[in-house]
Amino acid sequence: MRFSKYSALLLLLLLVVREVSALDIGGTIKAENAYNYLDNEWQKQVLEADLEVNGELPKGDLTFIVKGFLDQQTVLNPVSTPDTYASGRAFRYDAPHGGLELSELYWEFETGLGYWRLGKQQVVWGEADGLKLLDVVNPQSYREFLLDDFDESRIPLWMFNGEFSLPNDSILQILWIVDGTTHELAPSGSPYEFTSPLLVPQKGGATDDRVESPKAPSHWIRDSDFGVRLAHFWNGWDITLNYLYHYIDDPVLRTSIEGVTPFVSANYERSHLLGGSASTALGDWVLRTELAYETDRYQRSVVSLPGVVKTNQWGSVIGLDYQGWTDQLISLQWFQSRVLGQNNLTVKDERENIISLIWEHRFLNDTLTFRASNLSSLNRHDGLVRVKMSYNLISNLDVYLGGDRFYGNHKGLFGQFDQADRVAVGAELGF
Amino acid sequence: MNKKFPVTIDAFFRWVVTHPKLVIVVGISLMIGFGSFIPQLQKDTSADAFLEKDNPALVYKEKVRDIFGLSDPMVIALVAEGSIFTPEGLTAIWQITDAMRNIKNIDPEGITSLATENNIVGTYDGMEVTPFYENEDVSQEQAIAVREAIRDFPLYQGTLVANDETASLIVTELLDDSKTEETYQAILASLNELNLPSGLAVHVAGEGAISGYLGSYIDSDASRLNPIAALIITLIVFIAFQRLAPTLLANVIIVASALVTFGSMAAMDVSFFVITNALPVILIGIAVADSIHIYSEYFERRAEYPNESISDSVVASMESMWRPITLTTLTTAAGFMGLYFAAYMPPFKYFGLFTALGVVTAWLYSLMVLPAAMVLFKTSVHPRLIAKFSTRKVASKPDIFAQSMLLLGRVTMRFPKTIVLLSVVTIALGLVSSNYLVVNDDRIDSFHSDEPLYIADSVINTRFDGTNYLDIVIETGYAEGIFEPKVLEKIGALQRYAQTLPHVQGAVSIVDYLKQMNRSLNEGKDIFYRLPQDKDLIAQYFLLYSTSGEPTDFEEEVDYDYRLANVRLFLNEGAFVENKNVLLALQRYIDQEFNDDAVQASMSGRVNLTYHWIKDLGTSHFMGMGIALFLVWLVSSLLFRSVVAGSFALIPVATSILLVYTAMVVMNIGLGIGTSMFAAVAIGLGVDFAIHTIDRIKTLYQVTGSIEACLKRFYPSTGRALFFNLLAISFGFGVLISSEVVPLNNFGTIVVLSVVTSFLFSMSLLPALILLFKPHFVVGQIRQTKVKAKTPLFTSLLALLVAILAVVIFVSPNLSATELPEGQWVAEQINSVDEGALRFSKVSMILTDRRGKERVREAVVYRKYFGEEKRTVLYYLAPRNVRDTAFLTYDYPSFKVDDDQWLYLPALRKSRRISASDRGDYFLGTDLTYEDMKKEGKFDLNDYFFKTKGYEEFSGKRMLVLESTPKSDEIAQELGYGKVEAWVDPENWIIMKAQYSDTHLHPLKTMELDDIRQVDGIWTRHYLKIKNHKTGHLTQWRISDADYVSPINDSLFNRNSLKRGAP
Repeated sequence: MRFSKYSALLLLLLLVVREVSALDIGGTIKAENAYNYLDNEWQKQVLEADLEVNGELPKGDLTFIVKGFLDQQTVLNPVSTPDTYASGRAFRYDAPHGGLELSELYWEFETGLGYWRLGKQQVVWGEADGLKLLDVVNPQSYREFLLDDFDESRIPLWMFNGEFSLPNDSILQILWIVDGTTHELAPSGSPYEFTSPLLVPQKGGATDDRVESPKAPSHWIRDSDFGVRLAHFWNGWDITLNYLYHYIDDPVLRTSIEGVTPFVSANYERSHLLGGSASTALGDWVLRTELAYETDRYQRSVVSLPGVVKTNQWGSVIGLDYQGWTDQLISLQWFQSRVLGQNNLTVKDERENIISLIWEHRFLNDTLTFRASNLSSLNRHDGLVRVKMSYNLISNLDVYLGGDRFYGNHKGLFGQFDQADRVAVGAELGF
Repeated sequence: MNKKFPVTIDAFFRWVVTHPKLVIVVGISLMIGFGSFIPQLQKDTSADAFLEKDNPALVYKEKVRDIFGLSDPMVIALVAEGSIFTPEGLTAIWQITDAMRNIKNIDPEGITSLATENNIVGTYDGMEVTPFYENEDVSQEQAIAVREAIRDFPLYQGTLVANDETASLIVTELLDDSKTEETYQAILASLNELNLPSGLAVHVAGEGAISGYLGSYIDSDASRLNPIAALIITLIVFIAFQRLAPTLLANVIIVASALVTFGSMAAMDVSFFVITNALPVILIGIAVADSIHIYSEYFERRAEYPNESISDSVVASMESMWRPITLTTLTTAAGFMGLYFAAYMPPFKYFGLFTALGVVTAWLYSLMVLPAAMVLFKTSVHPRLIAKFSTRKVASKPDIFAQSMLLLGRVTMRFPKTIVLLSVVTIALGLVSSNYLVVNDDRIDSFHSDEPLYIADSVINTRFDGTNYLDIVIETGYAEGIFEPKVLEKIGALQRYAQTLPHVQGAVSIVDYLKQMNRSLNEGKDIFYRLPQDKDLIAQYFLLYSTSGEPTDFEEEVDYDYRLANVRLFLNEGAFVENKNVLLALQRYIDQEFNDDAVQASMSGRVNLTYHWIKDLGTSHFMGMGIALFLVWLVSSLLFRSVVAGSFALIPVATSILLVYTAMVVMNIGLGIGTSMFAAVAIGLGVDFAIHTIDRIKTLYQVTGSIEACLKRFYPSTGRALFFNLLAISFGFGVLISSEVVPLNNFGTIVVLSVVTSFLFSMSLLPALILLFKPHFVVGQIRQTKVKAKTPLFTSLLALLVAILAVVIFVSPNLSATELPEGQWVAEQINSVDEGALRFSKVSMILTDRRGKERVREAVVYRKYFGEEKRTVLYYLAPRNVRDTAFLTYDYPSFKVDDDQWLYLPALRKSRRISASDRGDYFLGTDLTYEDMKKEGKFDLNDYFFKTKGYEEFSGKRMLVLESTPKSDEIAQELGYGKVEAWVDPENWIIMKAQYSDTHLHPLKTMELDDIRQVDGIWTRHYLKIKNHKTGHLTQWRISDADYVSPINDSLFNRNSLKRGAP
């Protein structure tokens, strides 16, 4: 079965390449070592490579990105490709010491109607950095929680993406996503495995609950998602209106009693997301905002059976960037989510507030960059501090050194990883 | 109208007196027209104004200022009764230093005092650079510690702290030399507010202070002297005629000539210099003379023919007076033009030119507006004066003035030979004396010795090494060349040599700091107060120093890449005559010791500049006088149609000038800025007496047929008028004697002396010579009594006048050859260069850091106009780690609307909105700011004031230099520039080079362009090189494949399209 899938892809590629006039090939090789200084263990010692091939087709362009990695350690990696990837669409191979994946493959072209991008790709919505409110079109790999670059951790999906220019600089984007892949969760035993009661049922009693592995919805049509976004530039404001009908990428974990043993089932539920974003520059300041209303969000419940409660919720982000100081960026964001109804039953508070603060300073004609950030939950006083210093050693080689520290309440979104603090050093070579 | 226009003198004046209102209205309109320019007149009292802007010494001084931040500082001396090293003394130094930082035009990084300088001491692991003291609270122990540190730091002894330790200096460099006056006042005000404890006195001196003080002097002088001069002249005219009309009209002519003169100066962008202060007084004296002569003739005529109509009297008076007035105008103008042609200093040149213009204006108004107004005023002669004016009647009763003149006439006629002999003696004495004249000038001597500034200067020159600076710039051919021990040894030797020369009291250079560092690192042993002998070690010393010192600490001694060094010598004498030999000796030394390619030296600084503008003063003076005498002789010879008559006209002025030389030698007055131009002025004014005398004697001889008879009539009439003329000029210039500006004071004295003697020689020597020699031009032929209007003389006069005017106009284009287009206009031309409605181009950037490490970036840029809105998008193509980074900008035509900008970061797959208000931030690691990127070699006209500075060669072409200054501090902060100087190719209005200064006016970066060629008919910049002088970073920006024709899809300029990458 798997053989036939790869054979088909290869055949498709060969056919495509025949049509390609000239290829532009490039990529990066990255070596990164992360050391958990609390547990005195290496989290990863990886050598990653990604190869990007761009070619011009008789109509439009083709982009093909393949990624692979080898890891000396096995701490973060699953034994095999998890079931959160939609069956037949992942094109990936995962093993404890490495992996290979077809990251992106899309054909983009313009017609009289508009611009089209068809294939496995990433679509980014929204204005916020660090946490996601509107940026939920693609699921995310949580192998390293939020520590990996979003570009790396966002899971590209197979979709039809059409953008149509409307009068007055407006653009209408329509997405039909035929890939039910959901968030990849950190494997059991990983330092980034979810344990917070906000996210997963708490293990109780002497015996562990039986937990079903979540499995992504995989029907091509029935399980496909649909999104539409209208973007407009008005009087210095970038404004978007967004709608997404999709499966929430977090599994809904319901506990039931089968006989005497609690059993935790994992399913994915659909939701309507209706929201918008706006941003503008005001002198030295840039204001960024997002607002989203989501239906049918299943929250962890204080009542252990079934352990979840269905609510609707509001989310908002207000971000302010200050760029008044030379070569510096200071960014403050306030994320708020509000559970509507039944909020006395949810583990999370009716209003959850997270503040993020980013300070970035560039030196020596942008060759040396220092970045420090802090994400913290005001409700549970936990958070994540990150610092990173990167230096452009030569034109195409960057080296960097960083550290990530989680702190606070173990039941919190960030505090749950309190033992996962690490320092990381790496280098990235472009070719 | 043309048909009726008068063609003879008689008809001309008839026309004037029958159209008086028209003539007056035109006259007043011209006054208003020229007067409207006067508010634009700029004042420039700086010493630098005495040199042409492209004078190498001045250009080099500016370069030194750019590199080392050194110019003409304000020097504040704090003097204590005992030691300055007391808690009170040091606290006061701290407070003064602090107060100076808050003064707007003072460079906060250019203040040198005990409170800003650092001590260098050795520590067990290296060197520590620490302030002498940290704050204004100073204890007795700290004060003693500072004293000991200074005693251990020879560099500051004499330069910063008085040799007897009773005083200390706070030296402040200015940001803008044109604001010295305000800054000087602000410093005084700020010092007043400090309430320093008793026992501490504060003095302000230095060239900066001199310029500042002189500026306020001139203002107060001008506002005091000019009204006094005008009042005195008014009184003289009133006494002469005892009527209001002549008094009023004389003033109108004075005002007209002043308005036209100063209005023209303003229109031609010529500044009001120190010496221009004498110009109004000269104009007053000259302008009034014509009115006196015309009214004198008119009243004589009215006394003689009381029943004649006023119009006839006016026309008759004008007919007899237009010729001598024109003659004197031409000769006076010729005298001042001599100054213009001979002088090499702009203030003198312009002084000559514009005084000539003023004289011609007074003449025009006297010949046209005056007779028109006389007809309207219908002034009758005062009854008391009828008899006095009736010189033509036998029974006339001359007044005291006429009687005095008659007495002079009698003496002349009786002792002509004696008079000639005395004059010959005077001439001989003068010729001898001229050899003893000393060319000298000292700016401090512009002030009386009881002025605070003069006292301050003496205090500092007595206690310190001196207030006069001479800079010697040492130049090696390569970066860090100064670190070569051989070079440093040479600098040290130069310093030692300089200090053997008279008046050189001290010298400071990087060598002194290195010696101090060397000693500090060797346990403070005196034996190690010498230069380290290893280049690497020297470089390490600077590195060590930089770990605890400020990066700008050596800004005044070395440039940023250690290629240049400055040696500053301190002299306690500012006089040219004293310093001339010091400079010559130093130049010889430099020529011998710094003559190879590896290391060269050039002198700069105030002392050098003074040397350069004074050294040719003597030559210029004698040449100016020679040219003026020649022109006056030429004009007189032509007018009288006799070479002998022309020579006779010169005799009184030449004699008076020689007499003045004798007086100057006797009174020990040197030939300096104030006095050197007296000769031209004296010739211009003095020759009038001779011209009037010769002309009148000639005319009277034709009436009387005897020289004796004509002289008897000459003295009470023309003699009397000339006497009033003399009074007006003498009192006018006499006012200058009371000037507080010493050079003007000397100038006034000398001019009065020369004019009085000119008058006396014209009234005695000239008639005596005519009496003795009976020259042919007087007795040659008896002509008709009345000179007909259509005589050839009139034609030749007109031709000459046209020639003089042509010269004035000719030199005006000469001005306009140097005259520059308006800065704003140039900026508009730059902005109007066609850049095409759209453009695609490839860009290759090579970014090189100060260590030579290169990074290369490749990008493509698309630009398209949407109406007036310009949209630009840039995509990086290589290297891989920045590939697909994109920058999109919407540049709106209205400056009130901020641009919109987005940056697409592939790592986030997201386009970020970025603030566009930080226009001065550097664009993605290059040395171009976001604003530079956006404007593409153009200017936002709302950001800058523009000024053209001149033409300079660049890349083998003549470029127009445009200086742009931000309109406000806020804009300067936003742009990151305090000044931009651009070299613009006037052929295509492309900026070929630009020098940017930071907000403190220190050099920031230089951009140079190359490979400018047309693509699709549009001038396109293909190569830019931007060097940042602060960071040493270099950006090379090469543009290729420019295409202004192929269509670009609008959708490319949409934020949402950035993620798609370059098409």
